[in-house]
Amino acid sequence: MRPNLGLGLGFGLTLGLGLALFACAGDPVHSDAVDALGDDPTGMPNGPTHRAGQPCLTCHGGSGPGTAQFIVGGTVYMFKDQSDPLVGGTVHLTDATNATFDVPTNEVGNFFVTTAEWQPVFPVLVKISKDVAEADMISHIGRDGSCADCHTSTIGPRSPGPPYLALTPEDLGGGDAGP
Amino acid sequence: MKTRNFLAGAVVGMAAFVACSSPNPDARIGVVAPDRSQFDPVGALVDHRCGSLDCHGQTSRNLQVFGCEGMRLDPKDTPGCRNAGGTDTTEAEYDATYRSIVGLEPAVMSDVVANKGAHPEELTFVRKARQQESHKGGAVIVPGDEQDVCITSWLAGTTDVATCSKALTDFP
Repeated sequence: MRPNLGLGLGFGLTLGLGLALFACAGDPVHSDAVDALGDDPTGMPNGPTHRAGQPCLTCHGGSGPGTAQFIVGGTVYMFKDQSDPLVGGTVHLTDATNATFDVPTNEVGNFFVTTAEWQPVFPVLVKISKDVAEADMISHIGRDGSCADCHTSTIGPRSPGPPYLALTPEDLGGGDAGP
Repeated sequence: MKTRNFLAGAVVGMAAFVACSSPNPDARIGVVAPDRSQFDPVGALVDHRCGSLDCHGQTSRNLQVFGCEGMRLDPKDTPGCRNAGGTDTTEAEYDATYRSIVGLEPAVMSDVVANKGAHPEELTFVRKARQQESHKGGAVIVPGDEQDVCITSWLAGTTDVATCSKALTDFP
């Protein structure tokens, strides 16, 4: 009897440890998405100015590894097809209940709203502005708070490109931020 | 014995006849579909409300919506309508969205349309939009509102074009 009991105990422990290891490994899809971001191409240290242009909520969407949890976040540029960030601009957000939240863009054009600051009801409408210039996003945010998930760096049938305030410096009277 | 042999031969012959006769190559299992010619106003609303790039404006979704406010069909087009410097939704995009909606549940669609739009809630896309069934995008429409009237009027065979147009501007 004793050898059988030992065998059963060993099998049970192995199974239990295996399950625990599997559970601790987390979501492989999420892990792959985080890994795919690679090193920060901007070289900025972790903080509000890092990873400009990347999808914020991949790490800050509640599954880690970012500690702060965002509801919306992204990077805004001054002009279409140019890399100058919109510094000192404002992102105006309006949710389905007409609740509003304004958030500034920092020195690299980044902005973010944490879940502790605001819990909007989607869809959310977006307007960006600086001084007298302003631009409305044509469509709404349906549910994905990472700007860069839709506004990828490559323009194509499924992306309008990065969000921008104006088409050109001459167009600072207003423009469209793209859908 | 002769009769038995005859019957056996007849059965084998019949089986061979049935097995070798080919089906009608033109035969189709049809869908009783709502009118494509009345779909454009509905398609514009669906693009506006459901087709953003983070929702149904993705090819990974079962319900795929194409249009100028989201995913484009032509690889040369980019998101953005004419008033934003792009191109408006094309007829090919309306066709693609129409096929996606009708093809989601063809048998149920046939049933709803054959009954002149009675019980539209039998369709999953209607139930989800109303959040009568779990929908990550939440309750996008409310039964009886302009959007709901637009969609259900199309399913009933007479698209309420004016209400569809009003819904486009009344809902963000």
